[in-house]
Amino acid sequence: MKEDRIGIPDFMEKTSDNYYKRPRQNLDIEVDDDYRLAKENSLNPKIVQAKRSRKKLSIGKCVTAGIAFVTIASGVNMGVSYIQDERNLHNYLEPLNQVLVDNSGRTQGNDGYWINDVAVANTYREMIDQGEYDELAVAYFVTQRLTDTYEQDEADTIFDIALGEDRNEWAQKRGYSGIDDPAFLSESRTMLLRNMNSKDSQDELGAMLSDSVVAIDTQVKGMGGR
Amino acid sequence: MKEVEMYSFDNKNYFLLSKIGTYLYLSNEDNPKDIMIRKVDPNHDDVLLPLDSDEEFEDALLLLTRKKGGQE
Repeated sequence: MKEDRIGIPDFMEKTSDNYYKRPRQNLDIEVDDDYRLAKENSLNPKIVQAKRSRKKLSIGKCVTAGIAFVTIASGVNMGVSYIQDERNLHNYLEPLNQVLVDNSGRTQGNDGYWINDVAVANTYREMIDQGEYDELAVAYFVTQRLTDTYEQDEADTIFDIALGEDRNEWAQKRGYSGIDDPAFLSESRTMLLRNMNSKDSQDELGAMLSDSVVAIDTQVKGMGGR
Repeated sequence: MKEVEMYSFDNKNYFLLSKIGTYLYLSNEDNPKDIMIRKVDPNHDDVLLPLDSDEEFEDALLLLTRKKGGQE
């Protein structure tokens, strides 16, 4: 167990609001090795020329690979505050997700799904006009949610109608190379969290002021009753 | 069975688990512990670029978990 400078074991881990690494001593060594290997593979500076093809694989093999990624992501290097931020962001964006869910369904034969992109876009536009969300939140949600190849036409339409322009042009006007620029999602996430925290602070301030008004009002009434 | 995209290099076959933006999430067909995240070259679909930093690796991992979480 480590001690911080004021001598309280694990004090910083339990109290810091800042991003920090999860203590590693309890992590499974095998997960640690998998994480290290995946990182080495990913950061290996060698530029690879791959040969592309298509192949049929068992569902189990795909699921195993998914589990491997999720395991290293959840087991290592996810700060608790980061997870909390994710949860807050997820809750904040859930109404946008619900619009998508309400306007999508499975195709006949159950071999695909459809999205009523125009209805989704119009609803998002209304939400923006009514001040429920800003353009950044909608752009971020659509970009990180509709990522599969067969969803790109729908993402285009939603951008065109809800935000009024082509999504790459929308991103470029904000200094990104395009909507696929990894910096867009990363920086948008940070800005959304900042906006959410700012709104929470304003709400808290508003509640405090409201409480003060009630308290003053009560005092005045009390004085008036004398 | 599911049809997947394969990327073959260094005498290994990796299948594409997911693609988010320019990030490719690849898994060795013969070894599920051999996984990696690479960026596709915007000008050449078959050229795979390395990630730039530990931070980018963690961000890319979180993008995947966020996507999977959103689908649940």
